[in-house]
Amino acid sequence: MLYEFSFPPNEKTPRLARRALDGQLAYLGPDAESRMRLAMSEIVTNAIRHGHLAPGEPVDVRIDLTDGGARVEVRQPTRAEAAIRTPGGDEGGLGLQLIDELTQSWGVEPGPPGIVWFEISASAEPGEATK
Amino acid sequence: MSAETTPIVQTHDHVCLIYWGETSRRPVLLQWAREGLAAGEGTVLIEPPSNGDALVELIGDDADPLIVVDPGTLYASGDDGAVLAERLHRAATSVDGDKAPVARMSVPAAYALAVHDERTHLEHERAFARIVEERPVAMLCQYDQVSIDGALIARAAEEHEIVVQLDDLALSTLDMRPTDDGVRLSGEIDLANHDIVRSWMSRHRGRRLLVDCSNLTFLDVAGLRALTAWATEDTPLVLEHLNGAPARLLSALPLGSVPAHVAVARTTS
Repeated sequence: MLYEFSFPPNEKTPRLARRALDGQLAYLGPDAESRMRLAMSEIVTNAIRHGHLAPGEPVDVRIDLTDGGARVEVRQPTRAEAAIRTPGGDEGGLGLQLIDELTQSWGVEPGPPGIVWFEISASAEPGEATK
Repeated sequence: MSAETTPIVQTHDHVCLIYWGETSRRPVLLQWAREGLAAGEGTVLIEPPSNGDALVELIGDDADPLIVVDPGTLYASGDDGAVLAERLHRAATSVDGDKAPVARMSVPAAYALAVHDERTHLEHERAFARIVEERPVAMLCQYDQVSIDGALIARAAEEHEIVVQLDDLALSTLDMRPTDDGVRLSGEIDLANHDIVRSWMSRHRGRRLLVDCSNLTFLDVAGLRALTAWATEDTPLVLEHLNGAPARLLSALPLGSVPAHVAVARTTS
């Protein structure tokens, strides 16, 4: 099942993006669901904080749910390169390590448009599968 | 008042209610007023007449004892915070002369900010905090995130014992309040409230804190930093009852990146 959302770039957006998945993720198992919410929220937050988006420039989120897991793409009209490095405003590269820990695989297409994507497998521990 | 309704305020509560637009504020304000009226408390709404009349009509027959104070008259006098708080308190406690001394006051910040600068407003908030501590009253101070500067809201949060943030459907997204040995957090901490959390936590600087996270349903990296910003070696922070996504965040963080002087208490259940 493919879901596509377009959000305005403001401080409410990370919560809206998490809400968009309400009721859809239980089949992944609680751990994968938590990891989905965390990874998506951090990536959307960073698109907003570091993406230099103008008020009319949306953050597009595409969520593809399959039996085996989920693939999420967060797209912004600007370059995405810097964003993923800095979740939480940390300049030390914590973001990369966190996304790596939470997901089975991920990547950045700097753009523009910039895309950050990740995949999470249902009921699998991260770091074991498709790396 | 039905048994299922959770009281919005209790005596001595000083609540900072942060909301998204008038429609999300109104249901909370109505419940707040109805509770006060049902309990026979002197209940004061600071609202311009148009708004006040609409609220009185929604409350219906029970609204008789409700006192609506026009912010135009209230703030125009240029009183300092202490005098202002005193005047509010007098208004709330002198209904017919035979009301219980308990009172509750609703104070939307927007009206004060239309008249005063931000510094004066924050001084008023500090005076309100003192009067709530000393007298048997409760205050519901309201901040609209649509129209009031976010930095000011964050600073105002520090002056309040309790902070509640609502989304645009009037559902609570964050609730922070003190407990005997620390603080209790409910809801979600993310980009929409980092600054508020950091500011409010500064109230509790200088003591060892147990942070009850039983009902914390989301926490991002910046939220964790905001929450733990004031922890020191002598006054560490212990995160208790972490579960769900917040627990997953802590376990996913690379070794050494959890802020210093923060401990996670493992839940036994």
